[in-house]
Amino acid sequence: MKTSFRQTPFLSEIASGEPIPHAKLAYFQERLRNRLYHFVVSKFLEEEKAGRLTRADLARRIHKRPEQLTRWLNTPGNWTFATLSDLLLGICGEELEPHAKSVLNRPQRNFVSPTWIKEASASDTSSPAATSAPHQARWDMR
Amino acid sequence: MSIRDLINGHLAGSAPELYVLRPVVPGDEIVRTMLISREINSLLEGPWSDVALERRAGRLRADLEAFVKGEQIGICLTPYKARTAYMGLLDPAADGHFDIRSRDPRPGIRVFGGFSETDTFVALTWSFRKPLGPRGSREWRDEYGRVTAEWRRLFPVYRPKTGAAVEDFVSANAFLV
Repeated sequence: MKTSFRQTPFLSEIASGEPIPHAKLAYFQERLRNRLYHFVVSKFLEEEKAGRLTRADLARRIHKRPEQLTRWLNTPGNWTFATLSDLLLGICGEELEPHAKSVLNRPQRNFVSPTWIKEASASDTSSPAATSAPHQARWDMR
Repeated sequence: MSIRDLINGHLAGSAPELYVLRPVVPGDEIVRTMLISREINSLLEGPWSDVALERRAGRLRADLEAFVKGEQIGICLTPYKARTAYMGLLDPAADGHFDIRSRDPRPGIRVFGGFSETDTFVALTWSFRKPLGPRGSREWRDEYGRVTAEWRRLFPVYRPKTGAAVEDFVSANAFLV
């Protein structure tokens, strides 16, 4: 797959050391939570599909009520570090290894939308609303 | 004219009706398609009236991108039972309209729309959850009327995709709630 490296305006404050807009901080907070959720739930579904674990088994293993476990597996809304640790340990006996990488200079993927979408470049979500209002942060993507 | 042709028509021009939601961080995988209305695009792009709304919009964008990136999502196909699901089918189920539920942090936000085909969601309207009140309230009915009217305006002869199984809407990384 062909890729290219481009510095995006979306990441400009992160790259330059300027204060990072609130929307972008919040975006990365939620992004992290969603990625951890995806990681853990994928692990659970894999174990469940293989017939090695049920929700009831997991609830018992980590001393939680089944309804609490269901909430955790449905949404990361109230997860804490403790939740994450309990779930990973209970699902597959694993723990997270801290690792981080820069959000800058990542290769752009070639696939940006299905081939039937013809005008994607003209109206992706970065196009309108560029003003100098105090709480406006332009979310250019490329 | 197919619904894809209509979508392409709405994506075109200097004042498009629809936008393709793409992850803002380069290199993120794109697995599903989300098309968002001008109304939702404005919320995501700002300007915002205060910092709280700015933060909330940032969170919402990450939640919507989770769909695009093919992350695990819980889908409820029984109206009124969605609770903690990522998205839930609205009543009446036969109409095929869903809400995406960005619940945290408060105030929660609901994004309304429907699937034009498997793995392609068209998000048309949004509302904070609290003013909608309990399900079945006049405010809920009004909001439902708004999304159905928007759908009819953009796709007069097409209805949202309907189905009985999660796979009818999302082909992978989705589970029934």
